[in-house]
Amino acid sequence: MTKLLSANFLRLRKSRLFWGTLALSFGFGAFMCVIRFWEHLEYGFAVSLNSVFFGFAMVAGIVSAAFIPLFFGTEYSDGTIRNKLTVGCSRICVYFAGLITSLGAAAAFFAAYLLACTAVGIPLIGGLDLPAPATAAALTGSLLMTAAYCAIFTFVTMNCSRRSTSVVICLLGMFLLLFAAVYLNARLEAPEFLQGYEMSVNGEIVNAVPDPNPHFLRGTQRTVYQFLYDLIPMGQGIQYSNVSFTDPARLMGLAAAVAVLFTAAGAALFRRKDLK
Amino acid sequence: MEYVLTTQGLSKHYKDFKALDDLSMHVPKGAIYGFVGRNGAGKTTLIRLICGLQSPTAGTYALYGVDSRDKGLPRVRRRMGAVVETPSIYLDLTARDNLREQLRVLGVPSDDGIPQLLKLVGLEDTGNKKARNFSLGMKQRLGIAVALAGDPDFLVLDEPVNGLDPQGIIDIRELILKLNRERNITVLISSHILDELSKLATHYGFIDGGRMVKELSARELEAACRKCLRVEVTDTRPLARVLDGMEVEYKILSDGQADVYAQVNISQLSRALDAEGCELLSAQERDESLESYFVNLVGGAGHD
Repeated sequence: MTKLLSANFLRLRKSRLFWGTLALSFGFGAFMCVIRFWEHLEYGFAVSLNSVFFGFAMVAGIVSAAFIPLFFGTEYSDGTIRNKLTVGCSRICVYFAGLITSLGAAAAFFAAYLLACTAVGIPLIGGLDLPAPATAAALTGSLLMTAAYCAIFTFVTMNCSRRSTSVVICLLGMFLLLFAAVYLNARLEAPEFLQGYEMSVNGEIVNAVPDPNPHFLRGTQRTVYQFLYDLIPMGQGIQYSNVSFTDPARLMGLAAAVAVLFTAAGAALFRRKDLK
Repeated sequence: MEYVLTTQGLSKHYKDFKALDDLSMHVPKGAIYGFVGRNGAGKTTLIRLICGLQSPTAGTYALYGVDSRDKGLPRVRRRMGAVVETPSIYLDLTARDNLREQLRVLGVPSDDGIPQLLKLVGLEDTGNKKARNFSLGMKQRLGIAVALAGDPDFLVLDEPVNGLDPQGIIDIRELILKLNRERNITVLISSHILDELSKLATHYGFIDGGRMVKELSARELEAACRKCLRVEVTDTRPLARVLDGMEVEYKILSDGQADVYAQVNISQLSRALDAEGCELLSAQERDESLESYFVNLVGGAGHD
């Protein structure tokens, strides 16, 4: 395994894709800070680093969905996965080395974003005003959420023999997760009562009684929606990026479960896969 | 005889299609084994199985005597290198970096052997050129260099000269011969370019429809394909006496048939046989190439 990791990280260091994505992550972090600063100058909004610092959680999925199949899909498109198996590397080791390398790359992208926020954001819009435990929870949770993404996209990439197909599946899947999270968020955020209309009766303003919202989720339905929202990494990403999470331990547990399940299933499938 | 690779009843089925069907083969140590078959005969499937890319549906194989079900097989695989179908190289890396990658995979910490490997395959002057910009022949040679990175003593090459220009074919041929003669590497080459194979192989295996039709050494094949005069006579005993007297090589095939491996004067032979009381019924020149041998073996155009 260490041999494969050494080979993977050597290739990562030589990869233009990796360095390009790293630069983009850094640039995105700096751009977000500058935008917030500009909003503050232009409209006088009170801004803090909180609104930017965890923003990578929103895009970590998209970055991973593009990077992982492009980088590891090369093993299939260039046929180099054969060089590993022919000389006796076990399939489980090949799979886990791929997963660990993708985790390392994703963590590096996250770090580049945070570095940009620290270097550019703190001088422009000040530091974080979150308690340390919440900051630690958001960072740890975001990393676990990224691990879940890596597990999902490694599952696809290692079990799909065509790089272009992997890229399409990962990106499509990513956007499906995004739409699902946005939908779930909208349903969960729906107000319990709809604001009643106002009318003037003989010059007197009368407020109608608020109507119950028929789309408001209650009981088991709400529990299921909340569970799905917490389970899918994009739902977690929304919660971390706007620091709206209430139960970080639950989110971390679910992210870990997603990572473990996809890794177990992916490794089992890859073990039996006929390679060309 | 010591074998590097043996297979017993090896089968691989894809749903209802039998890519390999009860195939048995034997690759002797030190040989250049030409694995001959038409497209779709099962050559690449066998190579995928022995390289661990796919699992057999039935049967087993052994590498250096270690059975495919044995837990020690991955360790033995370390002794082999392979180029399956296309050369397995990272196109966005240089030749040197490709070799560094493979050395890391093999757990070799030092890069000291890289210049020597590049020189061996004639890629020592490629510098920072990415493999993407290599010619097909250069890619093929780099693929072989990657396969040689672990200093294997068994090299598997699947159609190594496919698509190469004449010079590329010569380069690969000379490289294979050099590896076999100087490093004593056993080579398994699958090909359907029989003329090229006949310049290299010391042993042959003919596969058709997923089955091994025949295995033989180059010497046996040469004997089978040797230019000769097939004569039909009333009795081969006087023929043998006459040919012994003429000091020519021959092989009695039956009571009335023999192959004569020499240019003989037919009138002289006929007169000599007549004097022995034997009649020469017919004489036919036979010259079988590897190609015609293969076609005869697997049934020719009828199969296509």
